[in-house]
Amino acid sequence: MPPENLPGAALTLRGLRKTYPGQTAVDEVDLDVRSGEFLTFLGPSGSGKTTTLNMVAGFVAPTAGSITMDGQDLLALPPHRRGIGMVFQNYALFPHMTVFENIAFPLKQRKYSRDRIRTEVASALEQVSLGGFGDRLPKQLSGGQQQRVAVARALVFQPRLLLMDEPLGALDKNLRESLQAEIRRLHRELGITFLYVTHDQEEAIALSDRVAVFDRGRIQQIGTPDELYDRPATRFVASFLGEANIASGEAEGERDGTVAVKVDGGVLRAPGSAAAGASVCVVTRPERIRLEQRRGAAGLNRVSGPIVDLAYLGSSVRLRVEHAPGHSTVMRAPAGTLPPCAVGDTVTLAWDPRDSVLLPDSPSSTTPHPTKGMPS
Amino acid sequence: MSATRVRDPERNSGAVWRVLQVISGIGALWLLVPMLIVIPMSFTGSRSYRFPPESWSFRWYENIVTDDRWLSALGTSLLIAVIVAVVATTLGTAAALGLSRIRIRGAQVLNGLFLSPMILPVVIIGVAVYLVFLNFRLVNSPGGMVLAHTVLATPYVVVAVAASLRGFDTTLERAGASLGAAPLRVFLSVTLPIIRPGVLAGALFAFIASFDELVVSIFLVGPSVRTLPVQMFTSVAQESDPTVAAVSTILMVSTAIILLLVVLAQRSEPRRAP
Repeated sequence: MPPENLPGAALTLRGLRKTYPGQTAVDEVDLDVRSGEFLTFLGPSGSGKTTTLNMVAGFVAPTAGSITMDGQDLLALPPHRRGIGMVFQNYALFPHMTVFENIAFPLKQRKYSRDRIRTEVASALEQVSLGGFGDRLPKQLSGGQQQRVAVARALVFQPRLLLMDEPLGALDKNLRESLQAEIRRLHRELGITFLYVTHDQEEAIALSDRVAVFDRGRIQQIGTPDELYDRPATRFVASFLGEANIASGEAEGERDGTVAVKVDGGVLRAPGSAAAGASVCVVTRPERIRLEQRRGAAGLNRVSGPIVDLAYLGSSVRLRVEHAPGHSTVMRAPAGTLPPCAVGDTVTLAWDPRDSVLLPDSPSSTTPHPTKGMPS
Repeated sequence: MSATRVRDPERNSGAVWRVLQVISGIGALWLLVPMLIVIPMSFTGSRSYRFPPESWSFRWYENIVTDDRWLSALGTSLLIAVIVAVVATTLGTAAALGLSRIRIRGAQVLNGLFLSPMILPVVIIGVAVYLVFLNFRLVNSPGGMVLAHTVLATPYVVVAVAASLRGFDTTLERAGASLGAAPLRVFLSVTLPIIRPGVLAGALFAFIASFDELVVSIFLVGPSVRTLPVQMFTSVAQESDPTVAAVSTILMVSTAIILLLVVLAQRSEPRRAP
């Protein structure tokens, strides 16, 4: 029985490991999922996020560690006794059953009466705006409709935890966005705990209360989307979540709580502390950087060089400046706020050191999304 | 025969296509005519295998119905084939499921082992089974016959079910478990309905494999168990009256019907659960 009668289950993962011969899929994962929160596992493929989800569902047995839900040991229960809803990437609707029979399936396992099944299925279909589709077969529905049936089926038996494994991965962009809104609405209305897996950082940011970033079997950082974006804890998180300028270099010394870092094409400062000579990197988000027209305040980070790329992205403009041979810095500004400039113009980019983040320079073996990582 | 590689028949000239059709037709006739000969033979009026028959009658069909040996052999064969079909389908389906799931080294070897009764010369199986069964008093017993036929029939089920499992998405079983169904329930409600065409085809093949089995059966027959193919074989060897042609005609027609059912079963999409 749920403690405190909260609708959402609280989940605790401790020292969770999964090793396969010659490979560690999940490595010492500790995690507290709060009752009713929307938590997303974000990471590239092979980072351990799906394996972790499957261990919660019961489809993969951990090599070591524990999983408890509201204080109950989940690992002692087979999957069908865990009472956890799950939505799969390929929908996993039973092709030989109608929509009604699919959604009635979990209720039949729970020996609900015929009348109760009828009313519960009808209201579940209403909840995902598919009233009147009960007699169709899954193959007669579009991908988006099928996934809504899968969501209805996973929720109809009122689980207190819903797992979603890349549920929108097979859908096109527009549909994905409208289904994201629907998933957010369901989460708000039901108040149960959602555990969501995706490799799409925009989706993670759009949906989640908190995001756990996975890389190489470990949780690199866990926090709200804001925290992860503004204060990434590792170079991997910085490059995987949104666009980032990452300049590697050698720490020269501290002054007034900032560290000067010698990078290609100049010296950058960032708040923090580091021993002189340490390998560090300075991470700066493109929208924190401004185009400097005349020499401004002292103490700003500055890089200069020719504009090598200029792209209008509708609401914003993206500018790439090659501040040292082979190294460039990207800035983004709202459209219309930039002075006239063209590819080839030499410009100076400037930003407040407090808008940069100082991180140890640990190269990551998993390659982040090819379009997201920015060379420094 | 010259091997002509045909990629897209529609792009070949009509003449080439016509020639290929004729060749295929001749091939089909070559295979079928000797068997079809027994149909007119079964309606002959005389007590010999002269072809074409000089007179016509149904007397050999009457003979099947009135001669106790034929009817009891038919009954024995049907009973054994039904039992074999049930047992072999259960075993073969379980084996195919297991083989599709295990991830161990040597799974291929295991697969070959399951299919070996299909590959080994039947005569060798017959001799081996005979020698082993002698020790267990299984020669001249219906149980022994069922056992031996099951060995021969199971590989057909394994092959048919394995084929339908290749397209089966095991995520569906996970979904079933996540919705609260225990493993056996998942198998009965989710897996079995989806692989049903393969299971049905396997059952029909198993039935046929037992029903027309001759070689191994010859080693195992005796006064208390005598199957139809064995009866036909001894009839040809000892009596040589055309009753066997009448039996053959009945068997051909019924086999054709069963094979037609197999094709239909494989073509039909998985239907709605009851």
